Amino acid sequence: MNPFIEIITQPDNIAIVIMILMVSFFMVWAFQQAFQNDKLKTAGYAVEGENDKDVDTYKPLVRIELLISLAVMLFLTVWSIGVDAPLEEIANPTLTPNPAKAPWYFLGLQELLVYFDPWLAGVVLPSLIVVGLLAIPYIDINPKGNGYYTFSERKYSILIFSFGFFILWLLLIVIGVFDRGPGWLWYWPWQEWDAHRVVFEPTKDLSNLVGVESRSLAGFIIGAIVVGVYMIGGMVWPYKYWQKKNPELLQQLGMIRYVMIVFLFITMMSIPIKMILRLVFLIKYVWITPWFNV
Amino acid sequence: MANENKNSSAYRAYFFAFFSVVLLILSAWVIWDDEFGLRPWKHYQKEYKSLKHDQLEKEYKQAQLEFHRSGGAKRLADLTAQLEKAEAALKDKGTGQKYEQLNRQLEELQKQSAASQKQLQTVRGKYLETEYYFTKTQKPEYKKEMDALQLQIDAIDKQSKDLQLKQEPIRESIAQIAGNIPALKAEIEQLNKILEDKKEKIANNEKAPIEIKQFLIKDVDKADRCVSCHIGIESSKQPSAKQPYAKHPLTSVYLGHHDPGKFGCTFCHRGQGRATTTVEKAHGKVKHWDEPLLKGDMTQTSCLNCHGDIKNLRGAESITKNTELIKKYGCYSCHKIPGYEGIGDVGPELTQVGTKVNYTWAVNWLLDPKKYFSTARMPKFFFTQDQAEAIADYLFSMSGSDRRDVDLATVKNDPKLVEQGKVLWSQARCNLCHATGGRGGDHSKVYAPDLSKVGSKVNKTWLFNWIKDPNKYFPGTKMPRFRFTDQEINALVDYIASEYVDDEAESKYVAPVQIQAASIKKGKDLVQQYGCYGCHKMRGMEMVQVAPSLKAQGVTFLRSDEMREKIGTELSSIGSKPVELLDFGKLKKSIPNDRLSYIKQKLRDPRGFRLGLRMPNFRLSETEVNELSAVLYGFTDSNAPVRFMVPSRQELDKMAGVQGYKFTGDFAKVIADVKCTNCHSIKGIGADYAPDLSLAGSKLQESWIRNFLANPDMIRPLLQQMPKLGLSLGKTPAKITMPKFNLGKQKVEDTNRSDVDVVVNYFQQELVTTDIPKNIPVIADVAMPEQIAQGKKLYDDKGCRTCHQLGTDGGAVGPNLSNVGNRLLPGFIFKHLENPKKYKPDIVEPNYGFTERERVLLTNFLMTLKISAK
Repeated sequence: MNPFIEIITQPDNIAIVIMILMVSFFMVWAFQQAFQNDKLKTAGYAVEGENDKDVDTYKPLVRIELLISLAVMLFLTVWSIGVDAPLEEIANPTLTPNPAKAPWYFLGLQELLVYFDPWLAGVVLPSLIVVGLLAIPYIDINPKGNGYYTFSERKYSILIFSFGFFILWLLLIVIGVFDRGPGWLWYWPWQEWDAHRVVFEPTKDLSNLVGVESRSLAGFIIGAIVVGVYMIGGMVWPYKYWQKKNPELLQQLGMIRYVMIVFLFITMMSIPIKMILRLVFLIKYVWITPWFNV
Repeated sequence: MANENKNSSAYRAYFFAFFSVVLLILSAWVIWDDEFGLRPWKHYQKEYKSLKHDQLEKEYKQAQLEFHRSGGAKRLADLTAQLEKAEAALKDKGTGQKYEQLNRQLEELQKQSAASQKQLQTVRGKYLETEYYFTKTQKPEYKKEMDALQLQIDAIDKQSKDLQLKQEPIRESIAQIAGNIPALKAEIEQLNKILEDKKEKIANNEKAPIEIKQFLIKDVDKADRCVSCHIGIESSKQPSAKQPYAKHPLTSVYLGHHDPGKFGCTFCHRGQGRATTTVEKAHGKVKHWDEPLLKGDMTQTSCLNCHGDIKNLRGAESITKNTELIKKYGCYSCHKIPGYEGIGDVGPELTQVGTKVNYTWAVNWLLDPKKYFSTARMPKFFFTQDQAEAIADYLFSMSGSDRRDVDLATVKNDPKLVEQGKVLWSQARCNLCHATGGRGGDHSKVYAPDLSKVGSKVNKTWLFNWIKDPNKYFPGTKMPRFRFTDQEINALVDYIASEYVDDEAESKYVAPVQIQAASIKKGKDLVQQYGCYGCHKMRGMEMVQVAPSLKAQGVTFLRSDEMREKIGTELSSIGSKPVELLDFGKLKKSIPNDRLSYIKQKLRDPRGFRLGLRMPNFRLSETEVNELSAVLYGFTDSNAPVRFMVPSRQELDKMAGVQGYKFTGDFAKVIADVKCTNCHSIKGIGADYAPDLSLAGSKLQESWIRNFLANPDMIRPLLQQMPKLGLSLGKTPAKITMPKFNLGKQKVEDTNRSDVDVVVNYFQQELVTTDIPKNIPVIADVAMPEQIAQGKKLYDDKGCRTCHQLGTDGGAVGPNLSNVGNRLLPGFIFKHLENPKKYKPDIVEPNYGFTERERVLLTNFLMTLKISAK
């Protein structure tokens, strides 16, 4: 069979395929609604739900939920009769499965291990994700978009969320499921997995590029400068920019909110930056410290 | 939205109704699937039940017929009539009233007795409870209560005993009145029971629950549910030979010695014992299950899990035969295989090979050994001409030789000597081990090279020295030293050199050419890369004297530490190696990705997987590939518990700290010289090609041994003994006789004794057992001639001649007994007849259960069977 079809139809991957289809559908749907509403608004019409203050839960919502739960139950029953639990080979304490994959919903995090120190990928970044999600209600001061779809009124929030969720969370899961094979090597879906594949891909640290040993003091200093410039510059430059462009916004946010937003944002953006460094420039670490590596 | 649309509400109601109906149907499906879809074994068990029912029904009908035929039914009718008559008579006599009264009295007493028993139980229960509290608390009031209860118990006990006593006289009177009624009743019941039993079996079969059946073996972590479908596996009478209802083949051997309740099924058969939902899953023929079911002879591969010695193991015949291949091809030379340590090199020693063979021959041999003779064991390494020459250069320089060939055209052979050599060749039975022109040589037992073209391979000087003393050139060779005189050896050499030549042999280096240092270095690398030292002895090469001219050019030879022990992958657990660890290389898509296919392909074409593999091609036939892979498949990381293990004799001796048997004194020298153990087994050492000599001293007469050793070819044919080998191969038996070693002509090294004396002495001192008496019991009451006559009668009556031959009469399964009186000691015959299996466990001779007297008679008769040697 075609490897691609084989991978798609594996019992393990059915859930992921359903997820891809559903997320794509709802994303397109949501953006379509948002753009429609934006058009209506610019044309001067009111948007449905924009001015509603309260909506009843019982009966409208509860009824729909009951129907949906019935439908989901039917679907799950048919699925569980039709497809057996996808077991793998018998556990062998002397043999690690290759590839050893996390549950599918954590494959995005596992993918980060390719690019980051385990301490960062496994502890710091997941904690920041949780903290960041918790902080959203406190740092979001835009009251628009409640109860109706809109894009133009919440452009930055939606773009940042879409990037974080669709690209950094879901896309990495899809990559982890479909493109990571034995040895955690990259396999296109049409390529066959081969546990004996040999890949020669020498990686370097950033300071090696300018000829400095990355584990020396000089290398440490260079790395610290690069990371420091990114973090501090990433905080200062937007401040200056907004000060010129929209000082009121900064006023409304206040310093604490500003710092939190920008810190979370640049940390998030460090992930794709590091990925590009690793994939395109074969750079393993930017900054090596005795405690952790960046 | 508070103001709800009516339409949308109805629409939702329809949805709700639809989903509910579908959910109901689904629930039914779930129940069906759970009850039948996922439990195919239910169907098999029902089917088996109905087959079993048919079988039992048939048996019942047969028993019924038999019951009528044998007069059982008539007897039953008779008895019933008698019983009725007796009962009627009981009434007529007027004793009927008394009989009934007595019965009523007895019943009354029994009721009372039962009541007192119940009371006793209650009081005892209370007593035990109180005792528990007293033990816990040690409070005196409990003790008091206990004493009171004990008194009650004693009283009740006494009462019930009285009741029992009262019953006795009543019973007696009843029996008196009843007469033979109870006896009749008992017999009727017994007769009825014959058929009732059969009926009950049918009823029990009906009642047998349909359920998952399994063998649970905790220490190997197995729950084998195979018996849920293979329900009749342990039955003695199978209702159907169809799978899955058939019984296990050779039940007494396999299941008899391996109780399924302790071993389970998958321990030998592999497969997925826990799976019950489909046949494919249960048989392990699914993805991710690396142990598919083993069927038929292939299952014998599992014997290797526990059995150290599989030789002569019943039911392991196929795997035993297959393991011979490991020894034949010397797999253990390059691969570590447990149980195959220290067997010795498969190939000849090469330290002095330059003095032995022609250079051109050596190169051609390296290029393709099978081209020289088709039964060559050495595999093909796919060397190029350059590489083969480099290796030959290395080997030749090691023995201080140049590239040099004997000019065959100049070899002169004396025709007289050739004639004499021809006679010697057949007298010495060279063809027994060495094949020439497609005749002779049995490669399955004793491997020796084909000599058809040997005249073009080796030079005459070497051949002379070799025959004179093989151990000198190659210590540990299997070639015996025949006691030839120098003149005889010259004759043999001339015969071989004139008869066995290769017409196509070429001699490139009639004029010797000096070997280049660069080529030697290249050869050394190749020897190291391909591990030639695995099979050929090349040890101690740092000792080799290098010619000064070569030394100046930096020529060195491999040191022992450069010759790694085993260059191949360890095979100890190849049969359970995870499939992911096997590299299918470019064959990933062309062959099935399972372990057995990998092993077979590796044996067929070892280098076919990818570049850079070193294993040479043994050019095995497809049968050999299958046989060898069956053995390799059995080398597993078996997690068998110790209680399963049947260590080999060697291992047992090692554990017990017993030194393995060693030949001592001058006899050891004779053995090392004549290599008796090539064919004979003595105290567990040696091959089973010729008779076991472990007890030869108790078995054979001295004069016979002496005669035989001096002239094996004279006495042996008279025996016309059918070799066991011929039987096992299923071919017409070849008349194999022992080679003539010319024993007795020479003294054993450093001693004054002839080798025959040494052998006889050792036989009588060492190879004896006190089990076998020197003399047999004497029968005093019958005269000797009469005894012999009686013995002959026994011989005829028991049908000994079916297997044994006397003169020209009789079968050929057992040994010919025409001359047994000259050959065997009476004590041995006497003891042997008691239990033939004792000294030869695999013997076909049945145990007739002779009495001691019969054995004496037979022995006396057999001892008269003599052929006087002229």
